[in-house]
Amino acid sequence: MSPARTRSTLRLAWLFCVLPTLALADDAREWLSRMERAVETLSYEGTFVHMAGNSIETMHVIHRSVDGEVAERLFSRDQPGREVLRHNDKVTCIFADQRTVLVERRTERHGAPLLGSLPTDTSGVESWYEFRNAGDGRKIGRAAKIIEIRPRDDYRYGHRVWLDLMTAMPLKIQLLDDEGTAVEQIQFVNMVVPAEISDARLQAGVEVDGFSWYEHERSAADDGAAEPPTVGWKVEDPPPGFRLTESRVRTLPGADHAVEHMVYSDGLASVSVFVEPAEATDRALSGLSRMGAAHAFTLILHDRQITAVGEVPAVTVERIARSVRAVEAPAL
Amino acid sequence: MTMNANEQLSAMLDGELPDAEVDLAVRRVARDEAVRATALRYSLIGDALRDELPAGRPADLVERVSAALRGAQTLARRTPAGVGRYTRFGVGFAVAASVAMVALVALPGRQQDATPPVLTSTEVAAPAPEQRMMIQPTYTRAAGGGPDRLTRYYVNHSEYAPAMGGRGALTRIIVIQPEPAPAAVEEERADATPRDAEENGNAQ
Repeated sequence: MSPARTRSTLRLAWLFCVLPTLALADDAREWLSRMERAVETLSYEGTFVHMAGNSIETMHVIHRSVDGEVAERLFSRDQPGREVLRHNDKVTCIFADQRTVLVERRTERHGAPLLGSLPTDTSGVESWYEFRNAGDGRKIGRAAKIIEIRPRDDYRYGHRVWLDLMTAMPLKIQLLDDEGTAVEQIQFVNMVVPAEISDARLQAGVEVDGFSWYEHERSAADDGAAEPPTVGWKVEDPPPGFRLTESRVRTLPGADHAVEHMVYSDGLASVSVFVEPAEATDRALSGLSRMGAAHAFTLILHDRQITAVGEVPAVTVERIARSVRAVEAPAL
Repeated sequence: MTMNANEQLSAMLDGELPDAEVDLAVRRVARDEAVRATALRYSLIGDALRDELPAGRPADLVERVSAALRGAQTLARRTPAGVGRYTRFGVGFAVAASVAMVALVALPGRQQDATPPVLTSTEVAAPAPEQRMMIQPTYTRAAGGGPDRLTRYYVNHSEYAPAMGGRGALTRIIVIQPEPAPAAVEEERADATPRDAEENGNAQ
């Protein structure tokens, strides 16, 4: 048998092995798990259109995953000068218009992909969401599986995703409000899975000489070498299904004091609560604000500024922020 | 923008544009705000015509867009022979675009308590700017320089933005700045009690 014929036979055998697996995976949750693995473990590059409200932007993402080493670059094709780069747990945000670079260090999760993925702990998530296959479609010339996640109340957004039938890469993603209206959408207009992505493709396209850098320095507590300080606050009455999944005290890049940070999640959506000393200028931030589909609600309590942030409806961040209370010190 | 460009834009948003043409279409979107507004309408129309709008849409949106397109196609068939297919395409899309845009601004949650508008001939034109839901970002710089607190919070939270919600988290850092809504200063009383779940009407 010639080498070419052998390769063809092997390819055919591979297809026969893979196709039944795909058929067995015909389940919404399984498809979402496959998506999670695909966006992190595949190497890909593509242009997508990001829409939120009346805002539309064409973005480009380059993702390289080789032997567990992940590097990514995300930038706008419409407004050059802003980029996000990731190398494993290090995320670098470049704000060229402010001549500023912000460097964040991710924690144990080794950094989330810029396109996002499912959390590992989704137990009980069906109580708050309905997962369903919503049929088949086509995007960028490829067959796609449509998966819909519907929230069961008004405290969380729904999702509708078009996943490539072969790779499970998301080709189109919508974030839906309680009325089913798309509040945010990402749609790829092209995508390639190259055999190799060079280091040069992952370098920032912005010259950052002379920029101000704000970097998160690892503390002894971050490295597990010291007992981490405990958060002195709690959310007394979170929306149904949201529970505390993480809390820590850390200094954010660009800040000169520690911030107490709690994360509440329902298994799919998450809300961060930040507590730090209030400054006079912070009062201007009080109330509701939004960034695309994300909302933030800020208030002042006991001379502390409390802000709840998340990709959830406004009512959710407001309820969480309003029910933050100081934890009483245990009696000695 | 020519009708050919409209067709190209529509194909791009459907993900059906050949790779060789994507760059040109992207550059058009990048440099022209009117094209971006058109793109938003096309996206909604495309979803409506493919019946891909999620549950909760206005019950008759698909039917209204389809009816508008059927009417426009009839109109286009009656146009003189010298008029090109792109013009006929444009007539259809202009009508459907106006229907879809009216539907967009009237979607529940966008305009509270708004009565769905009755379509008239004047709505064939593009909607007035004030009809559109605007996101006009304002940006508060930190006193000490660098990104302000809200931006730092959003960047930091993106690590915890799981699932499909997380995919846009860092995209927003690039394209959208935090938009504080006009609101009075919130200062909780020290003795405030947490809001009762029942008050929110969604207790489980």
